[in-house]
Amino acid sequence: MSAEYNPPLKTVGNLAVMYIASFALVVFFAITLQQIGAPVHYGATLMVSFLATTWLFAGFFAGTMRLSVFHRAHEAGAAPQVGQAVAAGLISSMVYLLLPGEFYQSGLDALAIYFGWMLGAVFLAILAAPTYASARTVTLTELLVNRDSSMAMRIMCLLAVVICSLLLALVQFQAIGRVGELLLGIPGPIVVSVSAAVICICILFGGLQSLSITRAMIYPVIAIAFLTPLVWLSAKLVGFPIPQFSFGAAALQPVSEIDAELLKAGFATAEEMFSMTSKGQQLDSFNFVALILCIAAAIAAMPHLVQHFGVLGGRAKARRSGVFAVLFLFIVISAAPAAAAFTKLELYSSLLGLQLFDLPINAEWLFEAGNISAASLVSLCGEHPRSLEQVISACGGSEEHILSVQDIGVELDMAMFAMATLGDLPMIVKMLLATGALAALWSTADGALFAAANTLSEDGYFKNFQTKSPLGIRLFIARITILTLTVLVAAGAVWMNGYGRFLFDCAFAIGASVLFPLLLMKSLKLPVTPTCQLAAMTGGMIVTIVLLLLTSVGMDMQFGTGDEFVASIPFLTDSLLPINSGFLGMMVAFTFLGAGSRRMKTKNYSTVSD
Amino acid sequence: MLFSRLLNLISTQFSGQKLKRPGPELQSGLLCAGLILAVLVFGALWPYISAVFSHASLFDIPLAYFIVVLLLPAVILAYLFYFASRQEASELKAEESCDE
Repeated sequence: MSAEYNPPLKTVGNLAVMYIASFALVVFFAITLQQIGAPVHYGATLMVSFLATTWLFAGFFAGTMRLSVFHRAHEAGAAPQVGQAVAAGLISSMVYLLLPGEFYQSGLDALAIYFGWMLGAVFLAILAAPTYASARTVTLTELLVNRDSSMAMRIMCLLAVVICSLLLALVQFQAIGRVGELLLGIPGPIVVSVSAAVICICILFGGLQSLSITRAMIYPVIAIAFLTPLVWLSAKLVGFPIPQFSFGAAALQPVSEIDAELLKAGFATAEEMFSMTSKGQQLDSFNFVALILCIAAAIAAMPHLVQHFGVLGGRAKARRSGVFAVLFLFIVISAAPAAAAFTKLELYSSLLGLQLFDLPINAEWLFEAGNISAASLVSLCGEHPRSLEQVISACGGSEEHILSVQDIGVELDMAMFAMATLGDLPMIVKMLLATGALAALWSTADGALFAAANTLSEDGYFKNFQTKSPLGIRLFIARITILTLTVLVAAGAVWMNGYGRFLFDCAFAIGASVLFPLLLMKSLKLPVTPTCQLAAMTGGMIVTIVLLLLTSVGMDMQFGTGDEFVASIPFLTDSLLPINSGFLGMMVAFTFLGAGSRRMKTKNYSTVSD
Repeated sequence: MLFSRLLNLISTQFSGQKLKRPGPELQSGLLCAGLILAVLVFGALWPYISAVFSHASLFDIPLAYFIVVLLLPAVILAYLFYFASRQEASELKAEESCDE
């Protein structure tokens, strides 16, 4: 490496400031376009194009022909910026799209996902970050396996990393298609293809460096886009612009008053009321704890997050950037309950108690076609409203039918957008929300694709088959792998629509049961025999996959046919959640590792940490 | 192994000998173990916590939300900043002593 080489990642702090200024200008132009009467999709196109330009710019700006820079960016990252990059990776479809919906539907139960996510970020900061940065490895697989590990162990580890990353990328691409269709009015396959091309160009040229630059620049956009509608509504309703503190007085209180009136009048039963303030419906103590630990363990060992600490040159810097990531995540994720509460309030205040013939007058937005279509976000009597006749027919045929709590539904992954639409927020805020969603999805998909491709090319091709391969060939293979995987995942997302939650469960359960136990042993420098490591990985993966399949699809391998296995554990739970298969797999893995650790001590082996 | 180290640590303290400062890995391990233990206790008490704290409220927010969403993460975050700076200092000190 020549001394005069100045990695672009070093300038990311200044870049991020300039980027935010440019983004503000773009928003200003979009508002101006709207004010002069240009069609709504002009503004939306402008903002999404700017977003795509960010990825392309980072790709070309950080483009390199050096393998070491492609993999580790010359260790030029600064702690706060890498923290931003990790936080952008942490805010995926689950946080941006699904978590508000989970709070909306499950109330207190969703706290398990919330706390699991936060705890995972903490584990990432104190365990994975310093270990990965100090080991100076290129992939997570390289960190987890030892020099004396067998081929089977290497392949097992490689498989786990690739499966986790690809499943996660697939979930993000599916969500990208859905956001494009519902919010931007563009067909899903087109949005997915364009997104795949943009992401692929970015990581193809610049590798980990462009990934870190993009994510560090894009984090403020994600945070601003997620928080703006909530701050707006909070300020509008109670005059206090911090939704994390105001959603009680602004939304929960009015909703509970409406609930009480409905109960008193006999229009609804206690079970139909908003569950956010009552006890959870589904999770017992075991599932609650297992869900927290499973999500936390998976996040701590997620390859697309851990790899970022490779651009930092030391344990202390990596730990500090991990702590910054926790802070940046907390700023965004802590507003998710407020989003759920505001969504409920807006649904209640806009639709509840209306007679069907009133809808075209009092809720005309329901039938308006537009870029952000309300009809796709809410459902009345179980169907998305397309016309008044269709709604009347779905609600039993009488136009005097009064809409009650059980008649009104919302698409759970689109709860935030439903809130913005029902809250009658300006179109620019809705466009900002959609842009932020795309940014969050892209910034998770790119990292997951890069982690999978890097693992396949480095650990699959180079370490196992062509150990004397020249650097140029290795870089070429890495890029070809990125290209191939991007095409495959994008095609998979278009072909396989739905099952997002199942894929997410699979990725997290495998990450928790296979990768985390080894990462923990490695972080704490606890010695384990290679045989027990292999047994732990294999046992954890088999238990997880078998239980996951049985509890999710059953023996006929089809969803929702009713033959799903109900896994009960005496004295603990009557029905295991599918994702918690990962927790049981993790316990199996730890049992093997514990046995291996004791054997190691007895035989007085030297430590396996390299 | 971790727990045997932990027990060893405690027994050293109780035996009155001068306690050796645990290394960075052990400190991280202890912090993780503490957090996991806290989650286990919290989870075991969850039915009671959710039943009691969903009725009491602060700023009109049910206490269960207030504690889990805002208070606990804020406390953990503050400790993490302290923990990271302390670890950094001890690592620097260790490096200096190695150089000497």
